[in-house]
Amino acid sequence: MAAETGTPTTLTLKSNDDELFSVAESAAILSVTIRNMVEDGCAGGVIPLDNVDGKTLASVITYMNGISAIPADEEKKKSYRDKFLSDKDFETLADMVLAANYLNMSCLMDAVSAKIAQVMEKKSVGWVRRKFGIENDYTPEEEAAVKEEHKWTFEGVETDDDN
Amino acid sequence: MKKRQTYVPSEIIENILLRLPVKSLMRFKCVSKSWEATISDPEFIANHLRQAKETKKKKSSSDDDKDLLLWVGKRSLFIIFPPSDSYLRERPLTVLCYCDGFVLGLYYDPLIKDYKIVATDMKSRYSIYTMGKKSWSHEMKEMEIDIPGTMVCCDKGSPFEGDTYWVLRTRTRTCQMDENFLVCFDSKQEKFEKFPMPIREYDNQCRFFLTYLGDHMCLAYHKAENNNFVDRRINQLWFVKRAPGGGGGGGSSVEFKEAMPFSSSYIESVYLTNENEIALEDGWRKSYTAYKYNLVTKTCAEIKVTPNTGYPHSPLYLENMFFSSSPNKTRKDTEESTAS
Repeated sequence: MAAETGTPTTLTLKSNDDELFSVAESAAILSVTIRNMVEDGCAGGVIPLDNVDGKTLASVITYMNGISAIPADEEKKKSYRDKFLSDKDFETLADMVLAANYLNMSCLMDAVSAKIAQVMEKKSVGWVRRKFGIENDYTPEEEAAVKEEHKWTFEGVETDDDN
Repeated sequence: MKKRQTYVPSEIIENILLRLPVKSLMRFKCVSKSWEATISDPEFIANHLRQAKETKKKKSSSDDDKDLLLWVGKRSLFIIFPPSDSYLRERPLTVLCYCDGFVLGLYYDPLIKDYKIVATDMKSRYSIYTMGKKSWSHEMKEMEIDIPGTMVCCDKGSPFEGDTYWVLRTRTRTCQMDENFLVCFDSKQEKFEKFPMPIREYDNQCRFFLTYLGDHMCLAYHKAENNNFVDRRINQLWFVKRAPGGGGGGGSSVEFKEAMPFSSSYIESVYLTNENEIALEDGWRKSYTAYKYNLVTKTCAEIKVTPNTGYPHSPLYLENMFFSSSPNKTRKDTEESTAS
């Protein structure tokens, strides 16, 4: 479906804050959401992506271009993904996982989820609550009981770095 | 901008959690009730197991054993990775769970050099899982001990000298009072034994539990007031020592050696200061009191405590005081805390 001869087709993507991006169709169709639009023939003009902001979309496009330039070599693709995600902070990763989910890009989704898990691994319960915006609905007694039950898992937790 | 929070839908969170090691997952049960529910869900556990296997396959190194041995779902038991020796050395307590009518204990079988898990309904039958073979013993065996009535509750197993002990509480329909037993799984004979409690006069307001003091395992007894149980409060304490049975009967017995001078006071914490002496902190009274109790002479003396910064609820106070003056204990203590 991608243009294999002649000039590659270019798609225009629009973020929810009205930024426009040009991207080669062959790279953009890594997103199943975009591929479906292309296949249905509704990618003629500008493709609006209502759930992704410009900053995140720029990042995702960098990834699309980078990964599609790599030939079918799983090892090389993996190391590209690792390098691509290595300097991203939690907020960026969270935005990316949401974008990857919306764009239906399973390889990016898996890589970002694994990266988030890696970032979270040694973090405190409080850190996780703050970062994910989760309300603690335990009573102090209940929380103490759950904590007591899994006491040893609180060893080796990093000091919070978010305040 | 800094404080911005992203709402992440639960299915995405679940996808992230699947990639966390078990230790982190267990800790994150504390995040919220819905996280607890997700992490404890049998389907999630099965998915996590699948995910963990896949990641493990991809990884070239196999010495990474930060994951623990087993997960217990509502109706199922999953073994993740066989534990390494160092893992068990560092955490002799590992994971011993009670769930949905099944009580589990973990032990090492030196004959086949393998770890085993015993699972029992604490009623009549049990089965043994061999980690290396990844299989259950082909049929449920009879426990061959008489447990009257039905199980009300059973604590987590406490490993001691290779065997596993539980406090089991049962109720019979005709009797008003619950009965408590000490149940032991003898790992050498792979048999259960049942022992009566050291005191016979107790009511449903009482709770027995197992705890450790130094190298000893102790049975503690706490009498609640108005059904109000306070964690770690102890009214009475015994050192537990199993004596192998004489003759060919096979029945062993348990010796309970009393380890506390007064049986009516609420004890906040207890420490073994040396082989013959324990120190107690009595935090129940408004004023903090600490005692030394000699187990041989059965004499008791008050310890003069200079309140320090951690006062009044500093469980480390006595510990520091004694373990810093006893080089052996100190070394052992630090070793343990750095290992875990």
